[in-house]
Amino acid sequence: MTSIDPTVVIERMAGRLRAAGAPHPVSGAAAVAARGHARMGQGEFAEQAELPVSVVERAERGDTAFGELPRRIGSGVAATGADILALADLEQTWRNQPPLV
Amino acid sequence: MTESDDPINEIMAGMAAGDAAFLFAFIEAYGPKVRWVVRSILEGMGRFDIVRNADELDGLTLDACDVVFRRAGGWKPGGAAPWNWAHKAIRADVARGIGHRVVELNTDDDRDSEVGHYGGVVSDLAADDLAVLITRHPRVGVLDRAIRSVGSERDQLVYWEYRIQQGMGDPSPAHTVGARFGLNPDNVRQLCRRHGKRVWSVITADPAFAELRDHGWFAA
Repeated sequence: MTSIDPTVVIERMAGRLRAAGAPHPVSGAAAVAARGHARMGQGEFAEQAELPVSVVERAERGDTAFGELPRRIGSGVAATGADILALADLEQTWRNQPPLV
Repeated sequence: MTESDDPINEIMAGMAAGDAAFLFAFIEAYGPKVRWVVRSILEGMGRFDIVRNADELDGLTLDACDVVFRRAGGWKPGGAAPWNWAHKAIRADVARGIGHRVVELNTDDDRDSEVGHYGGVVSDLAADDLAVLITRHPRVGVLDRAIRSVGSERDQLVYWEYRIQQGMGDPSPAHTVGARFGLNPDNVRQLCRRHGKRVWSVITADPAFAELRDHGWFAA
């Protein structure tokens, strides 16, 4: 059975963060997906990534730009199999559009 | 693998806590199974056009995963697989998503059940899918008439649901159906035993149901 495209799943999650007013919704959703792929709670994921939980929380809230995601989270995003370029492109596109009311 | 090792338990617990990371994990691990359920629902509705559209099918599948996410708190480890447990809600969501008709099902008896939580309007798996089955297999129509010839409407629905869950491989249909109708699992089993006996009495007494006398459901 074919898997669901992780890029589509992340885009959908990003749409929700964007609607909630997150400044970097795509990187936020990607960070959430990275942890989901690892099947870990925030505390465990932060510990394994050697990051403060607050950094993981900020990233998942969509407060951290794609290019500023910690390397460990970035590699987690890559492990999901999502198309990083497509996600970065979406983030860029949304940034250039007026915010959702 | 023991029941407690099953990764679905951890994922469902994470979703029950509202953690979206576990929704991603659920889709990643079980999305194809949910897609299969959505596909069968669409086929039952005759919407082969949507089944053939991969993007639309996956969109409905992700909606269905959201349905499981929102209801994860009610799922019990060791019960039916989440996509079977939430089948009725998924079906209602698919129906709403594609504009298929839905059927009022709520009664006073199931006001507090999962059905009742679903905004007052639910899709009736038995009613709609049975309609399709009855068209294809007249014997199912005879069986439906026999089941609906005795007992209250609620008992008939519980009995049908119990048999459907059992047929879908639910290892604990009494729990699944009980949660749906707000009944204790023991009561579900007792109700189904009682209703099954009453149906069997009708089948043996009424020549109109003679063709059901060899049906496995009523054996012993």
